[in-house]
Amino acid sequence: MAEYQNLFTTVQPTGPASAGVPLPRGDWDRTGPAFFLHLAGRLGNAQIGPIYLGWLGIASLICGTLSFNIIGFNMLAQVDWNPLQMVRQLFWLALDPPPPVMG
Amino acid sequence: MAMLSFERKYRVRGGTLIGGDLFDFWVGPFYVGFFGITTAFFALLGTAMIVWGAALGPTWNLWQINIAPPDISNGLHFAPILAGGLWQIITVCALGAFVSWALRQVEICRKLGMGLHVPIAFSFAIFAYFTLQVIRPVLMGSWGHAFPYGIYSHLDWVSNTAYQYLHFHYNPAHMIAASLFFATTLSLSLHGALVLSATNPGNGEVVKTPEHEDTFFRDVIGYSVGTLGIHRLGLFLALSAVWFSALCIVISGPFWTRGWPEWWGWWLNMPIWGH
Repeated sequence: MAEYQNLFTTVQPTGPASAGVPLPRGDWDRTGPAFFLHLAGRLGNAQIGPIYLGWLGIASLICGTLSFNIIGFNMLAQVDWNPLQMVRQLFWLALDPPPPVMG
Repeated sequence: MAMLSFERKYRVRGGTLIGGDLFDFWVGPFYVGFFGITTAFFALLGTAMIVWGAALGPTWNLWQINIAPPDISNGLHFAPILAGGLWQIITVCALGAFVSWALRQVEICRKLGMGLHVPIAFSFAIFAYFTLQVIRPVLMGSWGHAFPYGIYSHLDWVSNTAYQYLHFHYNPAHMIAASLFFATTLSLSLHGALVLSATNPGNGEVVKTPEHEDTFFRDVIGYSVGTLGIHRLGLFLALSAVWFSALCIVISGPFWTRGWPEWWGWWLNMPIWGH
């Protein structure tokens, strides 16, 4: 009975990393190499990566970085460019949508 | 009641916690056991008390039926039937039924030689109910702090209780609980969608394998937690969500009595910020 009550993987077999199923012609290559993280393997798979970026992945990263920076620098401006106050007031800072009068 | 041809081999004797072979039988597809009897007893008695309470009350409107706990001034004493006593009996019946149901799950797990993950998970839900209706009222010194039994009335209780702390979303344990509920629905909806997409390929395509499922998530985010891991992750997130829900309400009142936005003063006033 007790052997069923496992929460974590107790034995981790190791082998070569899985490269993933073959990609269609014309796609990018996957970004690697994959590596193994023992602690991740306690819960699920130990293998980290490889990842597929592609043009849309790049676009997603660019847009995400842009929005993160626009929000962040606006908040930093609100605290008079004081990094310490930015950390202190981070939970209360906001980049608001345009006011209702703007329609 | 019809039984599937392979079903008989799973109907094995034993594994009971109480009563030996006495209650070790099935009614139709349902396993009974000692705790099936007690579940039925508490559920029927509790439901009868609710119906009686409704009959004594002013309305049969399903939305408006309300069985309130005793007044706060009644403290932790037994209350007269019409002034919260019914609520006390129903609460005992509810806990009796929930715990019986969990122990019936344990007996079924033992019969089948399975782990106890399901009853343990269900016990977290019982714990959340126990926290709301017993632990917190006892810590605050009155059954009147528990929620009433009624569709609209329990919604009113949630709203009123939340506004007593001005803005309940500033409760740090509530923040963690809500985030965990979102994380649970996100991870388990991704899991459901992934399995269905692998097993329902387009016309002319072959059914895909866990290798494809792993590759999909490695391609997207660089990591696939795996077929076993997603179930561990989902269960962990769900149980953590329930745990922090119980925590967020039990600290509201017994630990913190002012508005939750005010609680964050310790962060703003830490000495590391200078002056």
